[in-house]
Amino acid sequence: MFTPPDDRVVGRRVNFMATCLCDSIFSEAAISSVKLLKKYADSVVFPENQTCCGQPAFNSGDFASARKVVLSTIEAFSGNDWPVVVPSASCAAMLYHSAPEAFKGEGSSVLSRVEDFSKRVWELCDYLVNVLGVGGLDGKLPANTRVAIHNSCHSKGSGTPGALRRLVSSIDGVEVVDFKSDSCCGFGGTFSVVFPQISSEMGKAKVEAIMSASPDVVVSADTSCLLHQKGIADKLGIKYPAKHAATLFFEALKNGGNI
Amino acid sequence: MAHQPIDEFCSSLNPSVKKAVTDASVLSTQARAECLGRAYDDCGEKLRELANSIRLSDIYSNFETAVKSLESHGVRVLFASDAKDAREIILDIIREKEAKSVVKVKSMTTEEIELNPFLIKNGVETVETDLGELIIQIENEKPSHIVKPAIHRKRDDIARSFEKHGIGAYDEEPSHITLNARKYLRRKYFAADVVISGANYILAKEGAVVLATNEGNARFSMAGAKTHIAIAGFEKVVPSARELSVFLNLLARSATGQHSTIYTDFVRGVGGAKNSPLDMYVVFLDNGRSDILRGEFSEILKCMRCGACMNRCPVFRLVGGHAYRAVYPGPLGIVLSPLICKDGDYSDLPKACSLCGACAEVCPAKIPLPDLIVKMRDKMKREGARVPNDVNLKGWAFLASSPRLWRLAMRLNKLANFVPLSMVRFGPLGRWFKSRTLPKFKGGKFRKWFRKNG
Repeated sequence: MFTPPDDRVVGRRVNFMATCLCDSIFSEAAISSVKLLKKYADSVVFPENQTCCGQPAFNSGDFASARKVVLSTIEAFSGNDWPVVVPSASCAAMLYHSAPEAFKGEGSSVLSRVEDFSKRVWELCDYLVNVLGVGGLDGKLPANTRVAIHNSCHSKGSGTPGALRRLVSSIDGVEVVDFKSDSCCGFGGTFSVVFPQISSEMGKAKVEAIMSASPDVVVSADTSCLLHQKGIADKLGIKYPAKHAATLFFEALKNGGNI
Repeated sequence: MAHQPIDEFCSSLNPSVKKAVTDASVLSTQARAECLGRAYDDCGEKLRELANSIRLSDIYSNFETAVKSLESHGVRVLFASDAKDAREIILDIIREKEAKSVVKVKSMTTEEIELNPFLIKNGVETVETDLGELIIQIENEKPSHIVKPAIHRKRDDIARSFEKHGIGAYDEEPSHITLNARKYLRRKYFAADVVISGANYILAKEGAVVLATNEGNARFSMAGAKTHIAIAGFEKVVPSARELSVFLNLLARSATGQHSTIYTDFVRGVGGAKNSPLDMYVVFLDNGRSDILRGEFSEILKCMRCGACMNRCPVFRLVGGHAYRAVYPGPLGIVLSPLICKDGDYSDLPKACSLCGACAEVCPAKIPLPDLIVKMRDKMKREGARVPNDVNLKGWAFLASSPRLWRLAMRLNKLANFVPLSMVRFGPLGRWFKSRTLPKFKGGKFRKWFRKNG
């Protein structure tokens, strides 16, 4: 499920898509992402007209609204034909898997335009490891830093989980800690406010499962899951050490004197 | 706060019932993975792809072949356009045979057409012979899971219920519960005139109804009764025994983590085995299926009713099947039920999903459930459904497709930090803040940084 297309566009010059959550809240994750891309790729551009991937509307089943936003996104990235790298597996999956779904039945010319665009979209960790060939990070964190990795549901059909784990494990001082839960944390966009009870019970179970591994850091390629998990944990009085992967990677590289 | 029935069901569900449903579902999911892993190096991946491609291909010609083969074995084949039609066809057969009592083999299709209450109302004694179905039938309950209908019940309350209904004295030891049911059912098998079953599959070439059970109740039922009526959606037809092997290798493994069910019966009509019924009928049910087959949700008809999707679903695990109100619960049900159940408003069902995709990972027929679910949401929206608590995203979409306005909104969003949003008690914000916090807005910060440092 949520598998990317086979023949995606690659290259050493990339567009950066910040995502609406990084644009509005998690600016640190976006800044770190760009710094990573600048280190490992040749050039990074940020088209100013980008907004959001359209996922909130798509997941709510408002395809008409989703199409509007997707087309606006495609337009925003029409200045070149380079890959579009996104610091979110969920937004990436929206664009490479879901967006074409919303255009089925809308005519072949617009559908093929959307499908062409979907082949340009990559999640950041996946791109770093599987396209730019970053085998590991020359980064350093305090000895025995326990890191729990949360793979978002939408990352599961892609190269992201493998890439994320590889990069995290490569950091000097890191001990990856596993936990027993492969279930969704219950965010699901508007699902969290349409079914607040079910969503928060899912979130509580996830947070408790992750915290049972006593991590110093909970890392994920997705800010949206972390936003939900930390929101739940805060309310429960649990100190939740959530961090976006890019932020952790940048800190580790900086600490190791390599960025 | 708006009335959201599924969410409220979750709030009000007895914690011990919730735990029973969660534990049983988690165990089934684990058993499935272990069993498929032991059987296949690729955990059944290739087989699942085959199941997806075989099912429904040439369905029309397979269906014609099935009808011919069944009839050539002396089976009477009948067609029901909807639930009411099916109930009446079945009652007519029962009346024609002057039958007084029916034994049932577990069948979700008979649940779909609400057959039991209809037969009982018409004076026909109708007894479920599957243990789980018997447990819920005597309490007038509906199944809360398509494979494990009594997943929500605990053994002590089952034992109490058995005592109340004269099926043995209170004894909560599971093997004794089973023994009590067995003694009770033996008498029913001998007395029954008619057996009604569903069909896990119908083989087109061989003209056989395939029944998979773990309790042998299908065989007992057929040994006693003179007439067998099998009812099935036409999508249950598969080309031949050769293709059936694909499905049987996936069905029990996906459902309960067994390599196969204890019994798999191939019923080829009358005059075969010594004790087989004297008359056999197959009722093919449409009930919206031919419309589904022609439309954008056709893949849902590939479902083999194993229940793996609901076992894996984080929402189902917290609420159980009754929360969905409709006959088919869980990820399967939230697509299928609104398409075939015309008796109520099920527009909130497709919303009861976080789109995590776990169901599609375990579906033996590789049905892209999350894609169908989100498509169903769009269909509901287009048809004007009003789902409690739903969020209107039209304004947001306008903003997100107007880049200049968006940038302005991002710069201004910091102002929201001065508003005590967490005090909001109503609407989407109120529902968010009830059990969560929100970090501070930092709109515009990244863009400013990029302009300077990018």
